[in-house]
Amino acid sequence: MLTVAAAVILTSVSCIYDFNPLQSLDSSFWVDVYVFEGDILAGDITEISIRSASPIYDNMSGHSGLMLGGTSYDYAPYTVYFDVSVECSDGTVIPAVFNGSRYRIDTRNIDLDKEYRLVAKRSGSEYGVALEPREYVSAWLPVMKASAIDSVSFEILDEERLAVEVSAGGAEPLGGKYFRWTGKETWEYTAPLYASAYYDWNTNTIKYYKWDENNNFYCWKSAVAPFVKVGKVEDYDGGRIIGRKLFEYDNMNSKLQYVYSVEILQETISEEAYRFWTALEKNTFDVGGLFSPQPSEIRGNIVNPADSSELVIGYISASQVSRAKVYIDQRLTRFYKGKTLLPDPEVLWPDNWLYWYWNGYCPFAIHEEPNASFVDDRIWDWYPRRCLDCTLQGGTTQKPEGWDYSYQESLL
Amino acid sequence: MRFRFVATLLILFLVLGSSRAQGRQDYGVSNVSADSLVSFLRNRCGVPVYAPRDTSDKGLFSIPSREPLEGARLKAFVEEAFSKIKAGGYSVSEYDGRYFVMPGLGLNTGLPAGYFLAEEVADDGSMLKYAGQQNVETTFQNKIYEIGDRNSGRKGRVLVSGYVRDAVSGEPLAGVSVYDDKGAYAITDSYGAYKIMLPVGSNTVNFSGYSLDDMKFSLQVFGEGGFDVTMKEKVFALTGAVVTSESQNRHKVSQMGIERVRINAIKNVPVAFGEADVLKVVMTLPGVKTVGEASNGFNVRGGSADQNLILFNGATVYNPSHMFGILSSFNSDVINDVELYKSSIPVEYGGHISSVLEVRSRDGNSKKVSGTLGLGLLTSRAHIEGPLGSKTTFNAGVRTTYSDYLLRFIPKESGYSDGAATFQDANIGISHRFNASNSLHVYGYLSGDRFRFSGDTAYQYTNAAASLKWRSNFSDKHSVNFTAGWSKFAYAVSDFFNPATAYSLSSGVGQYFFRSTFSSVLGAGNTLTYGLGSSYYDLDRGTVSPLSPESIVEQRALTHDKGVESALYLNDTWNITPAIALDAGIRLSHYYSLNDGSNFLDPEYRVSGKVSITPNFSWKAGFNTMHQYIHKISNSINISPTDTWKMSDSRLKPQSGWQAATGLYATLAGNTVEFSVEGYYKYVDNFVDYKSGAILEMNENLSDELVPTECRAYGVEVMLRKNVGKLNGWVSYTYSSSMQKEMLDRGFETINAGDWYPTSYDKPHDVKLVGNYKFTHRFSLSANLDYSTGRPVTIPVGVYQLAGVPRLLYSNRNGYRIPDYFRLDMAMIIEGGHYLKQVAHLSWTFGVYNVTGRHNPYSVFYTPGGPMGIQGKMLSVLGTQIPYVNFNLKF
Repeated sequence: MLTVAAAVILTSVSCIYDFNPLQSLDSSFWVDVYVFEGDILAGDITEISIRSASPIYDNMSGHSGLMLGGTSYDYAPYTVYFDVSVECSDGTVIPAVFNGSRYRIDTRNIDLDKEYRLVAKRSGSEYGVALEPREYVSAWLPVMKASAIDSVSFEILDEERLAVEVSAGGAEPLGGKYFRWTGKETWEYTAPLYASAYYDWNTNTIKYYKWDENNNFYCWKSAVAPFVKVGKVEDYDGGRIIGRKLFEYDNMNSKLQYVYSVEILQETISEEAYRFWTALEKNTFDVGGLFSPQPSEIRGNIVNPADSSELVIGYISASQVSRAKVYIDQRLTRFYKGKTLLPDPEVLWPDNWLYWYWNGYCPFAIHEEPNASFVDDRIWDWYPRRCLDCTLQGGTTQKPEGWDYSYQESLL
Repeated sequence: MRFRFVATLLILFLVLGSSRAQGRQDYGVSNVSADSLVSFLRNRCGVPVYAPRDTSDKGLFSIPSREPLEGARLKAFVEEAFSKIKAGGYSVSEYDGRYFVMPGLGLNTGLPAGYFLAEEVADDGSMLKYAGQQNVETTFQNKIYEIGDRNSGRKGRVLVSGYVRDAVSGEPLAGVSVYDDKGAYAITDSYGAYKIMLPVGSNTVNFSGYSLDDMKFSLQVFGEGGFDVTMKEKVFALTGAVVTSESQNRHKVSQMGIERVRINAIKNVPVAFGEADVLKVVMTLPGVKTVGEASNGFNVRGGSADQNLILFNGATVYNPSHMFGILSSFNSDVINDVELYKSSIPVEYGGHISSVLEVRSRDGNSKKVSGTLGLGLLTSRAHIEGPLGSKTTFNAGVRTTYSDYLLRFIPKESGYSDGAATFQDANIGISHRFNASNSLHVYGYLSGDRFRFSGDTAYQYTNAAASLKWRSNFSDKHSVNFTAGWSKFAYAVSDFFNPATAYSLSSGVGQYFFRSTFSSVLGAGNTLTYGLGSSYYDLDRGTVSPLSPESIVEQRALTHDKGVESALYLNDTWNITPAIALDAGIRLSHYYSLNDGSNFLDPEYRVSGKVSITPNFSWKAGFNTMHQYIHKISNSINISPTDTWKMSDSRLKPQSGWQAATGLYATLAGNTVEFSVEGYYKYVDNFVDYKSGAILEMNENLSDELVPTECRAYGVEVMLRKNVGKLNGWVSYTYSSSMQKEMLDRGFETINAGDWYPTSYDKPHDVKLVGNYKFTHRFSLSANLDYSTGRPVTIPVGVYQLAGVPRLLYSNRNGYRIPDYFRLDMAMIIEGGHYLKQVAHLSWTFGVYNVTGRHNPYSVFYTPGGPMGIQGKMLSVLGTQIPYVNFNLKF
């Protein structure tokens, strides 16, 4: 009895509660801070994004910061333009092109023996008054040489956890001591239900799909993998990286439902860059615990030369990139344990089809009553469109280039 | 060289003592007490005669001799002496060539005839009653005791010395005030020893100590002599307050900022899980703050946790916590008392800027074997103590937790069921009294913690210490305390996630030390303390080792940090008049780095004084300077299991600081209530802080990651304490400020642009209440209330996206505060009956920690997630009511 009581106490005394620590913060507080993201990638297309930080309010809603681009955006009366370029130590300038979300700079043919820096010149207006011009520059950066990736693999740690790991330095020596890994992930998925027919609202009829007609059941989706990991090869590591864990997914993650792939990008970075990303990780994920380090100030290597006290966030590196990809196939791992919960279908006669169609529903199949001796093909089960159309989850039905595995194709 | 110095001093004092003895010319004795006669027979006549000190002094003896005491004359003299002793009401027994002089009946040196054939006689308790009566007799206050030889012819003041011991256990009592009505004052040291200069003639001498019954003796002082006293623990009167002179003790000394708590008071304070905890009680004292629950690091007057010197029987303890800070690493069963020096730090101690906390264990019961068994929700403990022969005592205790076992009962959903947390600690102490002037004490301490929250990483840390203390009164006025020992703190983090890279990272502090402190009574109320001490540090700043045969990790160790810290010190305590006292000292502190040969020589000054405006109202002021050569390298606000330490060198200057303090002290309501107001201002420079993104682990060039800061702190502490009566305890209010500022100009990287910012433990308003109410001798109710302003934190004021994750833009360092802290704890203590014939004494403690269940925040932070993208969180370590029950068995 004593042990049970004590166990209950141990579990119940320590708690983490939702809390808003800024209840007393002046709501007019505005964070005038620019955040630069991206690296100068030798032999590749450089993509740079510039955002603004947002203040935290009591009633804040989720947002990802304002994307600042070469065109005005929907945040009147504040309009900001950036003229972005990469400068070479020999004086040449490679201008950027804004694609609506990022500045793209062609750095495929830059000289690996020269130094480069990012330059961003701000202009714009606020309430019709021109903003004071500002220029932000990164430090001059030598191009860090790439180190080959030996392998990217995954390991099922237990029934609930799966880790993706990287190894390097086995086949050829590493080109540096500090590394940064990012990832681009792609996964194949389906809509929860396979629709055998579609609704033609012009004729108020339901028509069956043809065999080769895309019914938006199979999709692929890509995203930036939700991790940035930096690592250091210790002097005592023998110059190798073995099975360095990059991130974990649990067995309920729907990305692992069929086939999942992640392409790991490995950059060699400087010690300063390593410190920046380490501090960023600690400030994000390692705060508030009993022995957590105190948050540290984050800046980076981008400054406003005219006012070095201005807080600018971001660390730009210049490096070559090594890539390697791993696939995780549910047919082999049997790791994914998630279940899809479906709403009850609407059982509809033709009189109601048009109404429900405009309310976001689609036909699934002819309704079958349990234990009924026959079915009436005028009565259909209808489901919300998201249950039948995988593209509504942000994916595409077009198979990505180079997709080596396909759960869909294996079924065909 | 140092040993030669000590030996020279010893020889010098011995020569002085013997030359004084050679001045005598008479061959016999005249009007001497039985004690003196026995001493004469033993020392001058070479007769092996022994006698217990007889304070009743049945009469005076004169045995003149005109011839030298040799040959037949000596034999006749001895026979005459024994004859007169017998006539004086004493018995003289002989056994194995030795003589024993006893008051009353003689010493029976043989068994009665037929002893082994006799039937066993049941113990009816009469012997115990007789012993009790004898005890009363020896502490009888309403009689006149004579000190010294009537024929000494001394005038002026003479030195009276002795020991104060516990009446029940025979253990020495430290911190007992000894004083007369004319201004003479002394306080017993950790060995229970005191020395006081009293005028020849009639004196009334008072003995008072916290939670002890006051005693008052009439002494007829003829010359120098000894006077040992036994004191009893105070039995609180339940019908009203008992007037005590104990509260006046603060008016006797010039030192300030000293808090002493005895273990019986500690056991009355309710704490989490009901485990009596030395450090948790220290945190209830004014001027002591902590960053939150689950922290045994404490902050004294605006100082950081590593600026406290924590001594356990003289050895330094670097991490005094178990179970992430929920419990302290001191087993209360073996502790005698704790003493915290916040302002007037004794000159023999140094090396830490902020405070000294002395934790002392008991010597052990010298009269019988006794012990305790304790069973609580988290821990079990046992201790045993007692005599080993007539001159040796021991005291040993062990403690362990079953939390490791308990964690298996936790539901898997909690996330902790795969975790483990366990600790053990063990203490042992052996004390041996060679004679009245020499005693030796040996202590050992070992504690270990292991825990892990997941299957991949395990932590463990160990505290170990061994110390040896030798105390000697090598003459009437001179004594020496010699302490030497070793202490160690070590931790290891094992990562076995990946067998190919499995490794263990360990670090630790090792320290060898000695202190030799001499004390000489220069005159009435004037005592000189002087000595030297040295510590050798060997810091393992980091060692990495492979954990499995297939691991590619190669063994690697950072250079050990080694250095020697030494000090010469001198202090004079002078009670100029009963109303005015002065304490002035200098400590010449030196540190030598064995790594790069850098030297630091820093004189430190310790001055304090008092003026008693009336016997019940005093004013004191003090000034201290301190230096610290060892620095905790950890960016967490708490004392953490993985703290590493770094010694000063050419690139890391010592911390240096000073503190000025003043205070008013009053005793009120017939000496039952103490009231004090103390104010202080403190300044420290070269306190280490960290660059953004500092790499602290396995960094050979650690100094590059550190930045020096200066700190200033000031405050006022108001305290009202009632030590006696049915209701006793204390209430205090502290207003304080603790600020910090970077000393370097590193451009935009300078912390908070070089402005002052609050330290992480700056809590301006602080109210504490500790109370105990005794309903009867068996039932008492205790309460502990703690309120303080929320501590400063660095929190996010903005958010931005980077690398696909919402990131946090933090405010200036410590720019905001978490909500205020409030907690009320209550406990009911039920003692068993106090019967003389009872073999074991039982007690129960029922309590509730955090009665109001307030979610006191330890920290606040944001994490990615939630419907808003980021979610504010608050960690409350003990954020609910925690009921507990403790069972104790004492035998």
